[in-house]
Amino acid sequence: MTAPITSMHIARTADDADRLLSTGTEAVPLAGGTDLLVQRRSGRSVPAVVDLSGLDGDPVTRLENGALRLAATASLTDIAAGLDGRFPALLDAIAVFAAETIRNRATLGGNLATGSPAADTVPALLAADAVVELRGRDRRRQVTMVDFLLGPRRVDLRAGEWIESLWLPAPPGAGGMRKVAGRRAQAISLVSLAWQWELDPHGRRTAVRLAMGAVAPTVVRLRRAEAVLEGAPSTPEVAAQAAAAVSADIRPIDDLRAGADYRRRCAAGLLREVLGDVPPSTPSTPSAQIRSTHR
Amino acid sequence: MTTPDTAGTPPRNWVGRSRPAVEGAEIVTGELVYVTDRRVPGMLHAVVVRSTVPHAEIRRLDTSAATALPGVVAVLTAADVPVNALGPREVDGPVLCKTVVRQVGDAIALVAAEDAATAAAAAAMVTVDLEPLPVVDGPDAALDPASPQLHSVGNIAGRIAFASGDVEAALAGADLVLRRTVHTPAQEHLALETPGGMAIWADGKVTIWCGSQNPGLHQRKVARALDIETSAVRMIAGPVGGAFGARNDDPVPVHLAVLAHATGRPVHLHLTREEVMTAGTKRHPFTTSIDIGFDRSGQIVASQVIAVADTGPVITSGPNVLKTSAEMSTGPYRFPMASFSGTVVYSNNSNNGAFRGYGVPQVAFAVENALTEAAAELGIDPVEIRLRNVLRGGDPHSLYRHRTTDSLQVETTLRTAAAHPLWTDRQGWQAAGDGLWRRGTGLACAMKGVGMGSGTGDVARARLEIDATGAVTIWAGPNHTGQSIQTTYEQIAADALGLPIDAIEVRVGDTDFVPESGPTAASRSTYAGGGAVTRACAELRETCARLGLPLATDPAGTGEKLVELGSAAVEAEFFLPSTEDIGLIPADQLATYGPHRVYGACTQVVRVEVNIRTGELRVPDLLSVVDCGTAINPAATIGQAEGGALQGLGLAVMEEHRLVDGVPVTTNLENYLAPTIADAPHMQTVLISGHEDTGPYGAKGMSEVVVVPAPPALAAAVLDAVGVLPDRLPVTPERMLTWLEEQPCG
Repeated sequence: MTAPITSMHIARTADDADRLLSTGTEAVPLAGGTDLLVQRRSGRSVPAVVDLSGLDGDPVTRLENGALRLAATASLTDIAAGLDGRFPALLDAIAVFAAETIRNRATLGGNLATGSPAADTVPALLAADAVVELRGRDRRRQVTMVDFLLGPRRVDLRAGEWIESLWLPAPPGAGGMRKVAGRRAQAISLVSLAWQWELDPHGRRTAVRLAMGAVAPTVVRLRRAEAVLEGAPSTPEVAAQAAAAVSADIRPIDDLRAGADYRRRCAAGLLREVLGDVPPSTPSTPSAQIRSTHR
Repeated sequence: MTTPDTAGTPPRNWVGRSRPAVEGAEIVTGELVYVTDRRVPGMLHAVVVRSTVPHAEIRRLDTSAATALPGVVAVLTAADVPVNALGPREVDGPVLCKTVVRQVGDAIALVAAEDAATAAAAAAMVTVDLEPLPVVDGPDAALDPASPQLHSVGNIAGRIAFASGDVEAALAGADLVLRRTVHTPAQEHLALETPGGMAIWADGKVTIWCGSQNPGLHQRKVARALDIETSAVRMIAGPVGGAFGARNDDPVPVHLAVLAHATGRPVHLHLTREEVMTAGTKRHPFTTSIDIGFDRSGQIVASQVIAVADTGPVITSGPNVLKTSAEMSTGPYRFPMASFSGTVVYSNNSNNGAFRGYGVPQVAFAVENALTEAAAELGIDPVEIRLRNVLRGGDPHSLYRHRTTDSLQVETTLRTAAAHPLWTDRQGWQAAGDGLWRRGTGLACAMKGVGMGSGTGDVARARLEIDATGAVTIWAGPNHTGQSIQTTYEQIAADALGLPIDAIEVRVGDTDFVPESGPTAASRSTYAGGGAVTRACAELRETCARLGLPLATDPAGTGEKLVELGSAAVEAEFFLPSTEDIGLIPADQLATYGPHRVYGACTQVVRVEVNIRTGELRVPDLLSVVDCGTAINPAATIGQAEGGALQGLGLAVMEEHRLVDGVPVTTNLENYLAPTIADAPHMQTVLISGHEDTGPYGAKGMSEVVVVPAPPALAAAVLDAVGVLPDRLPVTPERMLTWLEEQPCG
């Protein structure tokens, strides 16, 4: 049986949160609770929590040069509304995140802090070169996404700290996120891919950034594929080269949801899909084409 | 667009009109008190101590620490159960394991305490020393003579075989012979309410509130375990939040009764989702092989089906499921010769039991896939090849040669589906797809028997009473397990009596009042229970006619007079008729094969989109055309059709209960995927006109057959989309991508 939460404090201000999390107890920051409470059911002991879900502030703040600051404790529903079309990769991610009721509770901070390699919002944030803005009593830290993600269920969040916001430079217009899962809602990714780039007048991609989920101990950048694509024309040959380069940047495992081998093949296939490397439609004629799966 | 087409049946006041469930308002407002919602002062909370391993000898069981915990009232083990058996045979399994555990989740002890936390703490303090035994992890292991034998009778839970001729000889003369093997997985029922309820022991009698598809059977199980008369057991089997077969074999009513009996206190027990997903029954996983021959025109020459099923550690419904597989191994088709051979084995996997469709989806996947493939091989339209072979009402069955009901309309469901835009527009729809998401359309059909089958003595009963105000109460079964069968019974009774529906109240699921009517199973409730209600109503009308009482125009006066005369109560029974011609089945073995007289049928059309880069699959549209005779309550029938189609689709594309060396690994709803509303296709349902002469107002059952076509229709749609016919369910993205890569489609 799940051990009870014996203490719960509600932070009304950010300073409140700093103070409540610095009391030396093992209090855990609680945002939407959509993962933490599931972990409790699976046996994680959470004796004390500090609820951050009531903190005020704009979900999305527009900064100079199109940079954005996203509140880590705002609901994903509010983040999506506040983005107003900017940052398409994150909007895509939120659209396929669990289900509407969960999105009304879940937060970027929670999704990040939980350290899941399959976290849906993290690839978009990683591809966007977001910076995690952490705070605690008498301290502030800024950590890049790459440095923040340490391993499965491990992030650079120290005792007494909480994630206040995410800062990111202006996202380019071209970007998106695709999630492959066993079903179309309430599912953990088998593979996910977030991307962003600029297209120059000659159809070449620049500033290419790709991040993939559920294929390594953390969400990872696809550096080698990015290098293949950077400045290269949008041709099937380039797409095939980029897809072939994916496997060097990922280290998928077998788990209940999918095998490592599928994840590798799907990762490459997903990148080809995103790059538009798709053969033309050729309606099949089953009488001529039948191929049984029997062997 | 969904069209309940009830044209062609005589106008009636209530039958054939959609009517909300009688308890609908209470359900949607949350007011309905389900059996697991019951609470009474002084109630104890119970927890089941379960095996954590698939197969082991119980060396030592120490309950002393748990018993000593303050607040603990009882810790019961096998020795505390008066008769430690869930049925008359050893293979029915014990109430609580005594010397051996045979699956993860096997019940070892029952703990009752003053509060739930104490009960859970005490359960964790029960020490069970388990000496692991070799694990029989499936049919291969079960049939290996070197494996442990799980019961004194061995590892074979049942066999059934029948042949109507020399199939191999017939196949030798066929123009096309397909020899194929398909695999279908174990599937969770996923009723929203997990098993549980309450029991109270008072004055030498136990009352149990717990979901049951067969209250009479559970009453007998409880009486056996407690060594008391069945009259000392009252099962109140509702309201319950779903069943789908899972409340047939559920031991929870017995566990509740044993706890109440031992403590003398009201006891509450409610399994967690993880608990029922570990310990509860599933759909039987099957490996089904088919050898089927066709002539050039697509006529089936002969078929031979061999099925191997895994029932887990105890017998539950294993052999009976296989019996239905045997009957439906020839699909809804007429051909000269067939054979079936089936084996169901014991294993240390999860127990498999009754599940909507009851052995039919598994063999239908083999049969329909073969029809789909043969159509492609022979260059015949998939509808045309089915029409060339379709079994028509009154035809002899292909395996047993018994006579089928005149009301069978597989052909009409096929023709209706084939005329629907989802089918006629399939080329245009496919051509409008892109290169990434390939589009396809598939079709499959099925039939399934209604009732327990010929020779089984299947009967339902109803008791009716009119009071001095003219109000009528009817106690009838089969029981309500989520489909609001009492609403259907009320509609039948209102027309049968010629009374306003508000004057009638139907009560179900209480063994103290409802006469034994058998299970809510085998698509029989409307047909069997409705038949019994019709007969009870007819009896009342005859009594009134004999006495010259105007029931329809003066119910109050009539009721008053009948009460005065002591004639206000009637009871009637409906014996489900056997087939009129038992064909090749020896008369003394009729119940062994249980061929049906009455069948419902369904054709489904499925559209899919397959992503050739990732293997993902989307199902945007699904059509069900249902042959159910008269739809008593069309909206409820459509609801059943949609729910059943989605359950079949779940089996087709994502649902799979998985184990590793006998240990279940899909034990929660995060890792066992079932369709959400986002995965549900746009569904259309057409109820075709029809009339089953032996059914109430022409009705027959349809609640299971609607599960059956979805998987093979999906497979056919995948073939149409990408040229690969899946032979294993579910069609996950991983499997799909593997097939695509082996056979790239450009």
